[in-house]
Amino acid sequence: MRSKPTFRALLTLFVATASLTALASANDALAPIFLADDPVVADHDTRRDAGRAVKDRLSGYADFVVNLIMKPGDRANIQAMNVNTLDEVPDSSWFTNRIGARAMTLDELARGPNRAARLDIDDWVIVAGKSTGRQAGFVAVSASDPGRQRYQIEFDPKGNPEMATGAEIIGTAIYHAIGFNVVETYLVDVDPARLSIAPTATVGRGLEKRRFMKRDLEDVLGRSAKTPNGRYRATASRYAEGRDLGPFRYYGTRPDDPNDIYPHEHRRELRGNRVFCAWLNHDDSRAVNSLDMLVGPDGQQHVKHYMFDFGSMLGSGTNEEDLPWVGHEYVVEPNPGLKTLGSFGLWRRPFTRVQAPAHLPAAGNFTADRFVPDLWKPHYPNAAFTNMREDDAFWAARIVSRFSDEAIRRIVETAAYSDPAVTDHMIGTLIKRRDLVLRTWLTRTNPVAGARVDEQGRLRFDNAAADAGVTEAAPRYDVYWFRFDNETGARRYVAHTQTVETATLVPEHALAGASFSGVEIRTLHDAYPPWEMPVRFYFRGTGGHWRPVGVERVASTAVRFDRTLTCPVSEDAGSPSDARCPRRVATAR
Amino acid sequence: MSDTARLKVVVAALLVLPPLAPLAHAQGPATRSALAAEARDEKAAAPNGPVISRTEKVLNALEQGRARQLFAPREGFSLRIGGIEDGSGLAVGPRWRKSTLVGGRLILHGSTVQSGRGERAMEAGWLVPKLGSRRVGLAMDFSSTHLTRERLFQNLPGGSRASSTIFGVDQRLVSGTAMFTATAWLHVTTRMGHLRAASSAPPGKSLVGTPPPGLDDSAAFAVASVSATVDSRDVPGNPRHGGRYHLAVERFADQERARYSFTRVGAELEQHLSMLRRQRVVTLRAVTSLSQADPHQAVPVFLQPTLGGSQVLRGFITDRFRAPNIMALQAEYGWDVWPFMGAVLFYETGKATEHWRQALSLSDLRRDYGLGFRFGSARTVALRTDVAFGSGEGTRLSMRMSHAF
Repeated sequence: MRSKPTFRALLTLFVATASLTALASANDALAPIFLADDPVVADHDTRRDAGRAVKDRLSGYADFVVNLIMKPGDRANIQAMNVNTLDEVPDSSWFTNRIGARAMTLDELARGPNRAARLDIDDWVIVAGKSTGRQAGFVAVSASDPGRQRYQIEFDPKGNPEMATGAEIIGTAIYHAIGFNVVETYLVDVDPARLSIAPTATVGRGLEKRRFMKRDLEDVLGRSAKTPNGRYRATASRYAEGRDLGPFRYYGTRPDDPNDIYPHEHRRELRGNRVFCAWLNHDDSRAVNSLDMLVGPDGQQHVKHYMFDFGSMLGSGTNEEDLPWVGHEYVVEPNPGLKTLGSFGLWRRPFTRVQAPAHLPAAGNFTADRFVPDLWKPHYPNAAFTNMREDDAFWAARIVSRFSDEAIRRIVETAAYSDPAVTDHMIGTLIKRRDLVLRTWLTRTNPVAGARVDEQGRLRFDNAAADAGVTEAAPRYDVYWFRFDNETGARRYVAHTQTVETATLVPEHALAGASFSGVEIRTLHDAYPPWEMPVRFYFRGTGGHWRPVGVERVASTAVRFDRTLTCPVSEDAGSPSDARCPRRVATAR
Repeated sequence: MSDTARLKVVVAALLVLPPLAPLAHAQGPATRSALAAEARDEKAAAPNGPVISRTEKVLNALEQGRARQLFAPREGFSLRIGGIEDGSGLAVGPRWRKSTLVGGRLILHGSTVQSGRGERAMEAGWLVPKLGSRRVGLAMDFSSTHLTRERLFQNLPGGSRASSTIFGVDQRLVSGTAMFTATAWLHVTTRMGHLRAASSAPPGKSLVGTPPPGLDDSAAFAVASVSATVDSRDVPGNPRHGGRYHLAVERFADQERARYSFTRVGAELEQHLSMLRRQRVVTLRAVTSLSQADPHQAVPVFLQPTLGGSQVLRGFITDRFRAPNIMALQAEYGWDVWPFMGAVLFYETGKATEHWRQALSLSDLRRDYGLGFRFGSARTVALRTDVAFGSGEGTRLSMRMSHAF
């Protein structure tokens, strides 16, 4: 139901043509590089009516087979398409900048999407069986709720009490803080004596649909972990508002949603989700665990995109602890499989050497042992994950870096594990995995970010890697100032300075009269040669102040820029010399 | 999305991107938002419906239970497909199941199948798997089988397949069963019933030596049994850890002519040992069935246990060894290749004897070894195929839609 492979050829042709045209017509009359509303902070993707959208009935089998065998979507090595000129993701129906854009209190982080602090429902009325997923549960409403708001109630497996529900609570809070849409999810204590079955309750689909009977409830509870007081710990996920349109896919666009114009495999937040999934071991990050809902009044409806079902992350495999290969291999990995087969099992795959937590059933298989973030894998080769580039990873890793130790502790505590050892293990493991993620993806590329000019006329910028504490501060920054012609895209280098701090004076005299200026920063660090790749920050002169308007990372330009433009040679006095450009310009993986 | 629409998307996307290249036209919207809006307007003007591939349709239908509705629905009529027993050939027939009363706990069921080789089976009954405190279950069953191709290999020294003959068996059993779950791992089952059985040798076949008891004869039995099972396997459908220990005592009392009464003790001991994070599993299994006929009576041939086939002694043809007493030892080493596929090496040995004491000795054992593959998931084996060698009776391939044990 999505893009065909011809799209890739078309895209490649277009990119090449556009680049050549741009260069050839540099002296022609051209539209400005930066437009009046750059950088955009919101993508208004809710304004076209999507009321004609129909449900995508993608099944788990099809999701799996299509992604594993057919390699859908465009795999071109291009920059994410929905980022703004600052290389950030504007707010949209997909994503709302939260922890990456503003300070969030610990309470806010811990509460996640929940509007209430807790869900006080004791008398549940079952209105349906679960129609998807393997986790034991049902759909229920509160007996005293005249609005009959539906909740999906899901339990822990017998052998791993608190495991799946704990993962669901933690995952919901973290994914909400990151910026994704998630449904409200509460931890509840279900008393089986106070459960009732609505006379109209059904279970099964299609021809198998029938009345939900007491035996069905016994089956659900029989597969679930009971607490010592005879009750059942569960998660209650509030049904999202709107009409269910099925999952979104990690490739293509919804043909029936006019607002959906960026191929999903080229959306920054979906590519960067690979980093979040690696951190949280969210191996079940498949399309079928996403959700599109049609919301809004008739005639003004739009699609809201959700992530959901986090019960199979961290160390949880939902109905059992994660299997050992999870996170280390796709379901089908020809080479290691054949080596294992041919050696009669004598050849050991690396994941068999992982030390899993012992005697902590609620933690499942969650560990940081032998966790290599960029080698982490979900169940199948997800097109958006495969397309992730270092700039996408850098964006995502900066968000991860904002989860402090205290924030992680507070979020894990909301899972209310009865064993403090489990709480400590989850916190410790999340912190270790976070640090590995940051060490991997904040150091791959020049980590300078967030350049701005303060009121005192000083340029300030961040070293994301140093700020995250994964490496010591860079010893030296080469800073090249340039005037920027917004009509032609030409840069004229006007000043050069070196600094050991992440701040330096703006050469106002050299930039006087310019509408746009910019600064190119190279970070010199013996341990990280790739940091010499420049990052360019662009500013718009507004009322005597320089406002950030653009960011250009080498990783962003690896395909669309040729080497000359990436490492300009003698454009003007003071520009970097060719010798300073690292040989590996393109950072394509 | 059409190629033209895709191109528009690309154009819009490139314009939203950082200042990598000047715009290739001077005219047009002056803001980034307007450019995106233009692309959306264009898409809205030419809406496309979903186009779902045939592969996806088939896979969607599979997951949505269409196959299960046909072959294994939770309720109602369906198709029963499969062998009646090892070697009976493909059998097909209708099946019906209904949950009703007692909160849906009473399950009524019935089915009948016929194979291309003329064998048939039917069963009907009711079952309440969990009553009261959910520790007790009750069942009542009626079953009938008509088998035409039971093999009999005579136990001559160095017995060969050339000395085999085929006989038929008809059985009708009515039984009541009570199941008690003492703990999560201990189950006790008792059963009482009435069995009528008859065997028939095909005309024109002559047997070497004394015909086995019960051949071309019939009998009616009162049947009673009690069994206990300790099951600590982690995943019964595809175990990696734990064991299963089963002990059963059965009494067959000939109610007509006091010729075939006997008592049988059966045991199955199975232990799974895993290593390397459960990626390797060693399984050890011992199976025995020992029968003691009443004085001056015998165990009829149609109730004698057998070895050979797809479960035990896979290197031998089905029913290769038939006697009142059997014993087999099996060892399997399994290793995961992919999450949906594993491989095994196995070795097994066993024998069938007239006297139970002989069955417990480790002399005169027949053996085989081989290689197999298991397809399924961590929770179940959907298909297995084994190739067995070393039996001295040729290489044998077996395929079953179940685990070996």
